[in-house]
Order: sequence, then structure tokens, then C-alpha cells
Amino acid sequence: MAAEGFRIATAMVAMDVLPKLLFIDDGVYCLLKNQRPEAAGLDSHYERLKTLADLVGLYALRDSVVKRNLKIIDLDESFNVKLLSKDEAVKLIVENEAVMAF
Amino acid sequence: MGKLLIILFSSPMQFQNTDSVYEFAKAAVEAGHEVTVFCDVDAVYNLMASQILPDQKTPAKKLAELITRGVHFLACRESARLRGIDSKKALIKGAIESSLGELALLMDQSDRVIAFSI
Repeated sequence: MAAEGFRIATAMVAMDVLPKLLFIDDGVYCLLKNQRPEAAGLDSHYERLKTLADLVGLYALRDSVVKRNLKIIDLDESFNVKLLSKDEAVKLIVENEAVMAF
Repeated sequence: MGKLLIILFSSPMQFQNTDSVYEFAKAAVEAGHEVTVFCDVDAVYNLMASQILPDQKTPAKKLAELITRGVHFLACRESARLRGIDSKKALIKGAIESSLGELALLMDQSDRVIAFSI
């Protein structure tokens, strides 16, 4: 479902309806650096995520990162991910008119 | 009255979502709201006219009933194509082919958006 979420986000950007992307729970694994999905015969989301990162920015819940024993340096620096506290994530969600979870 | 957009991501029968969308859309359209249901990824299977359930109404027939009540049903053309579904021929009468671009515009134009994911 993550792939479809990225596709919808890309379509939204194309139609000038700008989304925010917040990664929570296991979703933060999408942001890890040095991924090689092609080794398992899977498509890479890197280019799409990089484009979304450049155009609308990517956010991740700090608690989700910490609970998985990850650090900000484990995330791909080219995504320039902003880590949010729970309160900041709530604020981000409330600021938006619609929320879709994938 | 408001414009309600429902986005459905799941296939029929495997999850509760289709029944929830049916009841929710029915209640909303009966209350006078303009309701659009966008079926994305596996949700396009909900709209396939060829469904068979011997002893009960199929999900597609239930959703078709909502079309007669004025609910708009849209199917993602690319999701259908990727699943080998001919969206011009295989869908229930009244279901319309659409795109993620149109979904983005609908999200912008609707008063409320609710997504049924898995």
C-alpha cells in the first residue's frame, strides 16, 4: 500500500493539491538509506520519494524511529526527513483537510 | 448539503470495508449529501459485474443499488488495467473510469474525505 500512497501523493502534486507525507510505525522503514529492493526483484521507490521530499517534504514520527532502534543518520539524507513529536504530528494532521492512511 | 468523498482501497469479501462503505454512503445520500466513492487498487474488484454469490446479493449488486440512488462510483483506470480488468466492459452499469489525477481534484473539491484502507 505504500507504493499506492506514493502514487496518489505524486498525482496530487501534479494537480497542485499539495499533500504532507507522515511516516509512522513500520512506515519509517521506507526512509532507510542504502535500500536495494531490486535485489529482491522489487521496484525502488527512491526516485518518487526523492521527488516528493523535494516538492512537499517528508515527516516521520520520532517515536516510531526510536522504537525501531533507528537514528536520523539511518534515514536517507537526501530525503531531508523532519522528525516530529506526537504533538507536532497531531498538529500536522489537524492542519490538513483530509487524511489518508496507507 | 455537503460533498462527501469516500476512497476505498480494499477488495470485497475479504474485509469489512465494502459493507461499511455501502452503509455509510447509503446513509449519507439519504441525508441529502452528494456522495462519490473512488475505488482504487484492489477495490476495483468491488465493481466487477461478474461476481457470483449463490445465496446472497453480491457486493457489486449492493453498490449498483447505490448508483441508482445517486451515489457516484469511480474506478481507477490504471488499477483495473494492472489487474487485467477491462474497465470499459467488466464493471457494473453506471461505474465510471477515473484516474488518480481526478482523485486529487475530488479531494480538493470535497467537504469531507474518508478513506477505507487495510
